[in-house]
Amino acid sequence: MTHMRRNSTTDDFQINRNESWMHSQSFWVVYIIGLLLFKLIISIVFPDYQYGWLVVTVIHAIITWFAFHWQKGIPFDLSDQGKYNRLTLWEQIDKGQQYTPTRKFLTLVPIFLFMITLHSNGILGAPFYLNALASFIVVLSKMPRMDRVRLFGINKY
Amino acid sequence: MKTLYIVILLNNSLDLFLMQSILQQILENQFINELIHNYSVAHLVLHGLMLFFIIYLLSMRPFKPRPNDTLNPREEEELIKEWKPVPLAPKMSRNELRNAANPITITKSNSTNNVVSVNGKDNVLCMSRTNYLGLLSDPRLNEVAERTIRKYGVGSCGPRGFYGSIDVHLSLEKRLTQFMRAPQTIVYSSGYATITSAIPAFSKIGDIIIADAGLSHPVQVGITLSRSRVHYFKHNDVSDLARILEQIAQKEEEDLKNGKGKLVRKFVVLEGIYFNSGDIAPLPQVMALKERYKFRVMLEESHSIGVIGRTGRGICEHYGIDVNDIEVICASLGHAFAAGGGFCCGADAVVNHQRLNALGFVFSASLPPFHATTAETAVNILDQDPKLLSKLSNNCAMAYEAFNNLPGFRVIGSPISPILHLRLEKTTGTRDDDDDLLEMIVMKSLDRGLLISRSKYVDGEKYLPEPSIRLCINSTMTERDIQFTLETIKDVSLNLLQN
Repeated sequence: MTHMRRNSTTDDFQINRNESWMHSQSFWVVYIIGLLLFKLIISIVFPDYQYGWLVVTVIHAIITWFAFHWQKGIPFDLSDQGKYNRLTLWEQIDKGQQYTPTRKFLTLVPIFLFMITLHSNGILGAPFYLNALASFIVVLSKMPRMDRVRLFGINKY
Repeated sequence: MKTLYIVILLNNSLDLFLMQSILQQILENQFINELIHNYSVAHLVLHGLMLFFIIYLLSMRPFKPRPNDTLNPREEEELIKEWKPVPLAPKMSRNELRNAANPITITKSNSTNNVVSVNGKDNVLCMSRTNYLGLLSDPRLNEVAERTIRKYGVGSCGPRGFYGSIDVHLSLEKRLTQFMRAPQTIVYSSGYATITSAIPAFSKIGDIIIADAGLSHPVQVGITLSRSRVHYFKHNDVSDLARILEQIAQKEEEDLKNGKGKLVRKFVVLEGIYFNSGDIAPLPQVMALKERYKFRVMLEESHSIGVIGRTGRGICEHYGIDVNDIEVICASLGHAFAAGGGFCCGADAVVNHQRLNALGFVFSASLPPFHATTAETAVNILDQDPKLLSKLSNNCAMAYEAFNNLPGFRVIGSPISPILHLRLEKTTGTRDDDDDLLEMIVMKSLDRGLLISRSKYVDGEKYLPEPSIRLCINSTMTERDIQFTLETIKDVSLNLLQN
């Protein structure tokens, strides 16, 4: 699953350091371990709290949504000359290539979190709706159809 | 359950028998049984949908929805509309605007009587040149310069390390070594770059610089470039210096006790005569602290070498201190010696270290040969004609005396310093207004045939000296010149200061 760049145009030699780190599989492992650690901490601090996974899912959704789908451009390194100024971090990944391994991995994480939460908190009541809504928004934002789409012009500039 | 079944069917594509047996196993599995019994249908449907989604996702091939990132005309229009140009140069502050407002262009200059032509106006008395010995455009220097240019041309090919060393550089270094009675001398191609290179060459990250708060700009730049830890003591206040040294010594002792002590270099940076105030550094008192607190001394002597001391060798001679006790002495050749460039003298190790480590020496073209020869000639003239110095010191004393009688101003400086700062006795309230007032006095004086200058500072200097008019005295001035200056400033400022 190594990230490969086959089309060697000059553009491909310019690595976007804003997203290049996401392709490493060690990052994927760290990511998953981080989520598990988060849940572990919740379980240790509140041993009787039954919505632990829900909290993980929702907080994960909020953080990743702002990081991937709200923030635009590159916060450092102005050498891109504004090329990425209007693209969110998600749209910068793999230069906009869809369904790449990195994208698949990052889409699978919220889906699995949804399933785990569904398993532990059931299908009834507010916890489920919260879970479903958070996961739905995050996963929907990652779909190819939503590439460079700004709903109602929100966050357009 | 059905979905799970299909998944396995799709993924493994086993034959029916095998599938049945697997299904059997799954149904017998306790975990799966629990799932089936505890879960509602909706549950399973959702999980199944998710599994489908995952498989769909994993099975998709990568594609690129946008082959290129070109903008369509509408987007281009939008971009152009929202573009606001940033000014090419940053906005200037009031101080910068004032400093740039009235450019002075000297077109013709006659050094022997300090008369210049400024902005097309003839017969203006110049009181702002740092030409302390009156050697600027001296016929002897002119002749030497011309001869050197005919022999070597105006430039010197390259840096000293790369084909830029010419015999005149070596000869000048030898002559300055002899003049300063120091072990060795290194010649830089810029007076400003001398001290700015010498300080960072020795004082590095983690080292300690204890500097006077009244140092002039090149020294400040050198201190900044060194990235050392800097402590400032009050201008010319030896007790404050001792207090800071004591603090540092105590801290060092504590660190040593805690086992985290680190050997660092300590430098005290002083100017012989302070350009920003005309004061003389209290060197003997500083030297008295040297043994006790173990520091090295760096001296910037641009305005004291060729000015004070019995034979013009600077502050060391003035106080009777051995030059070898000072680790680094830097000076510009552009003031008293009326040439260009600068030099730094010290022990062999100190000078040789700079030949490879001082950035201004290594990475810039060497001193133009005619500057080297004129500087050497100027040193010779100073050695042969000690009367220049007595004239200069007479003039300095006379000027100090005279300007002390100037109403509305305080004279800052010392009677033996050729630099005098006239500060306002009564400030108008803000620094900017003071500067505006002084600028007006300078411009009105120019109208009356007197060129003086306001001391100009860079925004953001740490210890900005008070606004002042800076006068430079030289050995060729007569009593009449000084009286004329006094009267003109008095006349001009009389009306301005009253309002």
